[in-house]
Amino acid sequence: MATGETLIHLDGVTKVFYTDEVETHALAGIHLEIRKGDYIAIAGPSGCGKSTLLSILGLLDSPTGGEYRLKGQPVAQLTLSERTRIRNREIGFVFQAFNLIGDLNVYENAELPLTYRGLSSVERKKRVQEVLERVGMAHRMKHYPSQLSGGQQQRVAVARALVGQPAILLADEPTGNLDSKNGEAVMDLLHQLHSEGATICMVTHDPRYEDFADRSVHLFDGRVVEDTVTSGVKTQGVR
Amino acid sequence: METFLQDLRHSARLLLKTPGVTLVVVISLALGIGANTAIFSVVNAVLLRPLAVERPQRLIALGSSDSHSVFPHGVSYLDYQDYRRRSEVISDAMLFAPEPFSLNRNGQSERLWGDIATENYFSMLGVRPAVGRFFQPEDGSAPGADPVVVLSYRYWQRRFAGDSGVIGQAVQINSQPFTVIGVAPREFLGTEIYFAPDIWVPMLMAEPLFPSHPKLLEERDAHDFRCWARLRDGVSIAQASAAIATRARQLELAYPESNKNVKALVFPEWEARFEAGTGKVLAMASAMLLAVVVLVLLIACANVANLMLARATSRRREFSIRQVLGAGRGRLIRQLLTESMLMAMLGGAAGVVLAVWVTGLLSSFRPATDIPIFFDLRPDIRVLVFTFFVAVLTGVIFGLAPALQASKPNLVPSLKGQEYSPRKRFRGWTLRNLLVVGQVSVSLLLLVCAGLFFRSLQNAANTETGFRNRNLLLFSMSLRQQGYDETRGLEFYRQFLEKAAALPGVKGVSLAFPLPLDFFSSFDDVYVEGYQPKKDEGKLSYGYTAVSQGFFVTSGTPLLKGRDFSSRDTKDQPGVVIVNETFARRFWPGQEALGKRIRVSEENAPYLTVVGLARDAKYRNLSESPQPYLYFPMQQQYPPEASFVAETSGDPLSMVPGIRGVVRELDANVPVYAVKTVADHINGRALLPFRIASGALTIFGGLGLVLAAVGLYGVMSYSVRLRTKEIGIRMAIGAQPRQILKQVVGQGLVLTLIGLGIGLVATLVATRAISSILFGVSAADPATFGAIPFVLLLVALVACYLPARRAMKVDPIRALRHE
Ligand SMILES: Nc1ncnc2c1ncn2[C@@H]1O[C@H](COP(=O)(O)OP(=O)(O)OP(=O)(O)O)[C@@H](O)[C@H]1O
Ligand SMILES: [Mg+2]
Repeated sequence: MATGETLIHLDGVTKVFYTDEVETHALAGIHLEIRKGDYIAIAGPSGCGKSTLLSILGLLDSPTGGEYRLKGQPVAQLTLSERTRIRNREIGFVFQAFNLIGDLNVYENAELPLTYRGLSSVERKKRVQEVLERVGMAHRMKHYPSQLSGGQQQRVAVARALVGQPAILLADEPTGNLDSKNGEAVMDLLHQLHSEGATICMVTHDPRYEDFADRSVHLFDGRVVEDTVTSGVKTQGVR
Repeated sequence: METFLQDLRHSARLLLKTPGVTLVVVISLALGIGANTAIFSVVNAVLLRPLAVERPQRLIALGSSDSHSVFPHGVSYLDYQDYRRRSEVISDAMLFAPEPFSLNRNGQSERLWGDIATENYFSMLGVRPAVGRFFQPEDGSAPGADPVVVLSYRYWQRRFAGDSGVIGQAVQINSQPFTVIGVAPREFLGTEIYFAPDIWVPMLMAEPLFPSHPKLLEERDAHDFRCWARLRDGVSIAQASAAIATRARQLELAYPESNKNVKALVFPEWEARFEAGTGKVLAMASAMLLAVVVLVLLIACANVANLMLARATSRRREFSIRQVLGAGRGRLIRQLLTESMLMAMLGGAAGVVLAVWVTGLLSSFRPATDIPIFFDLRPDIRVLVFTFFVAVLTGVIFGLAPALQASKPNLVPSLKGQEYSPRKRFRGWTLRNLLVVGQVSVSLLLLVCAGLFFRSLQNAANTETGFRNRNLLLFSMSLRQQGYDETRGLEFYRQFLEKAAALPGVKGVSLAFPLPLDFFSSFDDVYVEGYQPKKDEGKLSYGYTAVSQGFFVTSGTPLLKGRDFSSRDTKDQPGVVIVNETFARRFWPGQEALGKRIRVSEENAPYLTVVGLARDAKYRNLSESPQPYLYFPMQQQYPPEASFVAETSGDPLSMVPGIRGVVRELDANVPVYAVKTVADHINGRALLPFRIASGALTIFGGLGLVLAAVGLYGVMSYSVRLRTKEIGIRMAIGAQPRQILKQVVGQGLVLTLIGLGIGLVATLVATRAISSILFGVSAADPATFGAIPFVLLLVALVACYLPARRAMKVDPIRALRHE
């Protein structure tokens, strides 16, 4: 369903962590292209660098080497505040542990990204309502996270990720903390969002969920070892 | 018991595990408890500690009042004898008066203060001598026949090195031979707590000791003595009061001349400790000071409670696990309370150390007078008991809320690792916020009071006192004890002034007694020619000073009209007087005061003619309204002691050796004392209340501010730590660092502003209570009320900024990883 327009371009991206004199090569030269409308599943064994890759894609972290271009613009030159701004506008995060703020209710949680943008409260209200309806949580607006089930919390987290109409949704094992029924509901939601045109990049352990995506990228030891278009031809990992 | 020890060990281990927190807690508590202990030590010394005498609670003080004086007078010797004789309500009474003496031993003379006391002084108090004996009834049998003296323990130690061979030794007191018969016990410091006499001499020696007052014991209206009595068993103060009042009325009928309108006053001993009638004022001042330090302690408690709440929250999981394993709630509360008690005891111990140090400093404070003012402020067992209870109470106050909260059975969310639940929000978090709000309000209250007293002090220091405010040297000398009669005394003064004036650097010299604004003052009855006192006025009595020629120029109280006294205004010339503006306005409004006539002391005394009009000055204290006041020429109203007033061209104190030399040259035995500049004079007494109030409040207010700032900082730091993950989430979804900063600082400022709002209202109400003791500043002074909250806000801003900066630096990836 990709429209062809390149959204993200990674060229030889590496990431090295230095701890106690030990170098960990979390990413060892990643080449990856994500186009508008893609739905990518990233898979691989624990510790292979999936979360690290997602953090870099989401501008939470910067690569040690290589080039990352977002909408054609190299991100290396961005200032801290510009990166924050892009995180706010272009990227939506969904975490394994939901990461809702316990002091805020469902509505306020979903509204959060908009409050950092300076939108009018009328506009905010319209968008939040819309997005909560889309994830099916509009009827729980006044509830607090602790009063919701895990699946419901994750749907609120998806709403929060969507409310700013980002260019791409990054999800790190969104079903990891959920039972299979709730997990499938969330996957259905992502699938539906994708069919409505959203670009999604999701980390998953579960091979069943890989099939929801158009494309699945396998990592091993910080490298892409397989990049498969699930709907069609299976290509062997190039590098 | 075993579980207690176990709890104690566990607590000690926990406290050692977090030395930082423990230190902050102990320091906070030490400051709070130390302040309380110090102030309580003062209150204890001033009001609570019983005198070292037999059954002090059965002692009463007698005073007398007349129609024209606010303060109670003492009692005359003759009235005392009548009160004492055949009384149904008192078993005994004694009379005494503090006096300066000159004691000469082996040719060395020194000036000291002692009590002249009736022979039953010690027996009535029930004090036993440390060495030798006290006065015996026969010591008082005949006036002047019993030259015996009792030494104070301190004086005995200081001058005789505690040698018991002192008994029977001969000394000279005011040039009279005396024999030392005994030493008072160490703990007995006389009956007035601030004044520790060095010697006691029998009352009936008054005449040879004070030749200038030969009829002191024979004048029924010489209300110069302090009178104490012991209630008979079963008699209440009210009963005694009534019976003594009846006796006073009988005396009024029997001796209308001297006793008209003289009423007897009866006080319990503690109310008469400074002077009859000052007890209530002292009790009020004490209550205020205690209230202030209790507020400081509450601020400290709030801090500690906050820290304990924070710790308890981070230990919720531990408690849940313990509860799952079967620990009862009571057991957990006990464990937590043991912990807080341990901290409170540590804080209390540190507080006592602090208080000992502070009271040591306070005890060493000496006002500019030679009176042996001595406060024994050292904490005693009563203070230690007080501190112990304060510490226990403190431990309960700051320990209970966290203990109750942390031990609440709330297993599921804690075990699931959820720190937040909407219901908890209104307990833990809000309680902590409330504590901070309270701290801010209380600090504001303390600081505004401090500010108001500081402004009072400034205003008072800037008021026109009647003294020029620099280049003025003051000191006192006394001819009382050196056998000078009036003629020789005046000659001494004349020669002294002449020689002193010739010293280089001295611009002008004069003598005066008593100095305005000194520790004592003189009053006399005044009869104004042609003025009929109104019915309710009774006798008119006004303050006066006897001055030498030149006083008005040197002191800085100018003469507005008429002439100064001159060397021709002697006793055989017509009497003259100088009045101040208020006196003239009071009796001769719109008329020329010069040439008017008054009589003093007696209704039929010779007239004195007004020859000068002096500008109004302050006489007893700075906040007094303008008072009528009189000046007499020394040659017509001889004072046996006098204060020297000299205007100098340079540093006044550099003149001291030269002037002392002049005195020595004239008579080496004349003591010179209370040497001071005009600033010392004003600071030493007139400004003292303001200095104490502003000093104490500044210290305690500052303490409160620091504690509150630490509290706010603690709460915000804790909040940031607790919310690290939340902050990480917010940053991940696009919050700019400065938005995080704004959020954290904003949260702290909201608390501060709420605290300031509540504090302002409370302070406006509270300061009304002190408006009467402020000076030249309204209890709602806009400058103070504007500036102090601003200062608090700034401090709060700093206290919030530090944690907020830490919040800004949160790394979202790390924050999200730690789950
Ligand atoms: N901040 C860091 N400091 C040091 N090493 C790190 C850091 N973050 C990740 N690593 C290391 O980098 C490697 C990749 O980690 P990453 O979290 O990306 O793995 P993952 O594929 O997401 O694993 P999982 O499936 O268990 O979530 C691991 O070896 C990890 O220990
Ligand atoms: Mg991972």
